[in-house]
Amino acid sequence: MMDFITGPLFALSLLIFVGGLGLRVILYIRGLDAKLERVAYNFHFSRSIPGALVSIGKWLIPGGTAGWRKQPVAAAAFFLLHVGAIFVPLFVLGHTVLLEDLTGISLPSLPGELADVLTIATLCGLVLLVARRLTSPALRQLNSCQDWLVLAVTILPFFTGLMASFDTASYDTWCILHVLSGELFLILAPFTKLSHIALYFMSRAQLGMDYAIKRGGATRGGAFPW
Amino acid sequence: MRKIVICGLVMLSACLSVPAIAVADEVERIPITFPEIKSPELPPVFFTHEKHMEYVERLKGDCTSCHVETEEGMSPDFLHIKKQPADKQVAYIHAACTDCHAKANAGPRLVECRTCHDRQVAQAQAQ
Repeated sequence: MMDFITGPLFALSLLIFVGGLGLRVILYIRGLDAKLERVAYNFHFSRSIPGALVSIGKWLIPGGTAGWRKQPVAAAAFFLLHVGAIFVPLFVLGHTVLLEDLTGISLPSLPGELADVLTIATLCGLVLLVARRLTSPALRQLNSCQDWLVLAVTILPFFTGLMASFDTASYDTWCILHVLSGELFLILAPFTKLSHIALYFMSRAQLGMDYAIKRGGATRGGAFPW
Repeated sequence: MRKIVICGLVMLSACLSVPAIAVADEVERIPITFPEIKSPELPPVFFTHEKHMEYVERLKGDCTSCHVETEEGMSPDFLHIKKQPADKQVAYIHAACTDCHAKANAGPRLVECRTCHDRQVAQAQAQ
């Protein structure tokens, strides 16, 4: 069973993840309409490219934008989740060993305690997001099945991974659950809100280009060019 | 209803985390001493040499499956590990062990780190 879920099933889930997200990116770009959005995407690259990069970059920094500063608690939860959610799957020792075995690429690995701390931080961030979803007046009216599914599918790999790293009597079970929940995450990502893994960069780039070309934007000193 | 579900989940994870009582392993094991790991993240591996010898004998193989025959006798280390560059030695032994396990359809795969790097076994062996 282990050979199947770590062999063909893993390859399949990775294919769906990379292929699916790639397709979402292509569809996003094809869905842009210069006339509808009134943004001349194919012109003014000297303004639009820096604008896109600034938008992507500012939202990656805590408090980098007014939008983050306006909702500090939600922002803290997001960053608590995402710092761990990005660094742990890429650099935790178990994953780097497997990556080296499969591809020969050797990434540096996180010390065990740091990986544990980051994973617990990720889980705290996720619990805070669940709490936010249950208490925010706006979100309570908008909550859907997909919102809860995405939160559950994200919690599972980190929780099962943490339990596996604790080396309990049920280590083998936690291992299998971890592999399966990780693959579930990869398979569902292109079909759910998790596609923001790739589409974050697309929508921030689009908005950054829009603002930089026709609304002043960060690269023009912020003033609207009447 | 939600409270019951949350309590149930907490109890379930608590039960699954109860560590096994440290029982001295009945199987004879030898420590793997090369490559030497300076700051180990995981407990050292204690290898079930007898079990592997039995398997190799069943397949009508011999010690050269894993050892290099030298003038002084059998090499204590695994195959050509000393010929690998220092930063590739762990990957070499990982790949060799787990590839054979996959082919034999027995034994841990590379995903099951702590089946070989077992803390309880390492603690029992240290005594």
